Amino acid sequence: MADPTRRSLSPLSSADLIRRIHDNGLAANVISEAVARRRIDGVGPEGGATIGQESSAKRSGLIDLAADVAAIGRISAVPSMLDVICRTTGMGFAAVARVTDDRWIVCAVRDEISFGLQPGGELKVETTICDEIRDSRVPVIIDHVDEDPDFCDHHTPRMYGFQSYISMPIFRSDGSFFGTLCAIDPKPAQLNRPEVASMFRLFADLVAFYLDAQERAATNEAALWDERQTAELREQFIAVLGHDLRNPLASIEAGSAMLLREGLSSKGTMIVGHVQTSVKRMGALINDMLDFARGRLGGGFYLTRDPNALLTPLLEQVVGELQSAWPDSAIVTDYAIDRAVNCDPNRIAQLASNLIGNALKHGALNIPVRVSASSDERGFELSVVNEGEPIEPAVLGRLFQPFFRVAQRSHQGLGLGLYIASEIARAHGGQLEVDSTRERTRFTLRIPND
Amino acid sequence: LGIDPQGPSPKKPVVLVVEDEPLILMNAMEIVADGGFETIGAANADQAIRILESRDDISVVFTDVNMPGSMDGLKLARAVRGRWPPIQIIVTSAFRLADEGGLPEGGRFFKKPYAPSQITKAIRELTA
Repeated sequence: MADPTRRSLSPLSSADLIRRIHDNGLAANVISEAVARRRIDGVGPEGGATIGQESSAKRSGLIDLAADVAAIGRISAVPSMLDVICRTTGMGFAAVARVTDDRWIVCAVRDEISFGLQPGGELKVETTICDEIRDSRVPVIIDHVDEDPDFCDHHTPRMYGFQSYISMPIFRSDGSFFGTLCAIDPKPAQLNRPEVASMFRLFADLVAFYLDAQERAATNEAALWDERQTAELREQFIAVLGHDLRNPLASIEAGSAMLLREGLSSKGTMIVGHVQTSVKRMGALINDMLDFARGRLGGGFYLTRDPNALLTPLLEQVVGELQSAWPDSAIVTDYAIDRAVNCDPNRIAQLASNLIGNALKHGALNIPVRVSASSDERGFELSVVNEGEPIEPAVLGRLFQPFFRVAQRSHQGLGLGLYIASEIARAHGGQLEVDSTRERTRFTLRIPND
Repeated sequence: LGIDPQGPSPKKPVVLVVEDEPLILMNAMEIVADGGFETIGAANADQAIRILESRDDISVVFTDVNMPGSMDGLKLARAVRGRWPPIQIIVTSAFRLADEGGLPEGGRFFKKPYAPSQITKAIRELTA
């Protein structure tokens, strides 16, 4: 039987190593885990020592070691871990070290034996056993150097003057090797206990877990930064829509207004009339796009609430405007608005205009659109009803999505009207609902009193 | 000799219209002229300042907000209030003003598109 104090041996093959560890009934799970990792990396247990072990950072060509030291420094659990390690093992020095193929840097340390290393401090990597662990990817545990045939003549213990040594590799979730969790002491120590190896494995995994969590947090922060840039882009988009597109439109409007005042032929008057209708339509489209950009792309609708808004005259005005645009359709109204409604009257007018316009567009031609509105102690309710072809159930759920248009009924427009209406309802803490039967299609807005 | 029973006919108030879009400027000047006022136009705030420096008969500045040049309409409005306090100010924009306080005291604001009657009524009130 092998000497129970010999727990490692870098020059041996890993199969050899596993056998020895098994013989000693120690930390088999640790080793098999390490071997499993090598398999994941595509290297069998007998594979070469340095294959597939380089960190992703190294593969990308640059390792920011100072950042790694700082990352360990941000893990508040590390000092407690090192403290627990020293108390449990009776060892005087414990550390988390970042180990690359040419550097050994201490990231966190508990030093009761005046070994003299501070975070950021370095040892020549070739003088450390961690150098070998980086290659072998397995832990090294030495109870008593002088009695260990593999390590009694090893240069590292001689150089640093320790008798007991334990070092556990820290693997990131991508399988890359970060460094080691290690401890040393000038006196021998009883480390050949399963609970010691398990504790080191657990702590090493915890360190890796925290490092991964920090990386994820950094990624989220980057996403947040992206979001801020998107917000800036949105503001530019709104500015372009709002100003740069509207300005030339306003020019055309001004020009056509002047032309009309000039006194034109009847054909000229007719043409300018059409130009003005197009200008109005374009203006409405730009307004819808602006609302979409503000609402959907963040920011939301700004409401300018008036706690004493009187909605009857407002709705009468909206209906009047639509009636003149649809002279052949009838709109029947029924208002029972007894109380002022705390709302943004311009937005409610916009919502009503969208709903009534929608009903006029899609409803049966010869049957009036019915608009009813009421307000009481519970809140405000507006419903717009038209008859005609019902809306298919499959379509109902998508009506309030932006840019939604019923293909066969497609009229000019962006398909934003109902979306904007539902956003206005939402901004008021209310709801816009639709139900459609063979008898009628009804949109209902409800805004509760606050 | 004829004596004018109403005294010497009062001079029409002069309105300086500032707007960078030529057609909108022309239209605004026509609206103001049709309201019975003298008008003079400027394509930007710098031009407007030069005109204000060159004559002393302007009673109202009617300006757009968003304009290229060293000053936008709101800055122009404040500059006018600072250098020529008696001159009345009307500001217009396609956007609501984020901060009505940006307007000099007594200044009027109209959101575009405005009705011609809104503008002429405001000029009449401000020059009464």
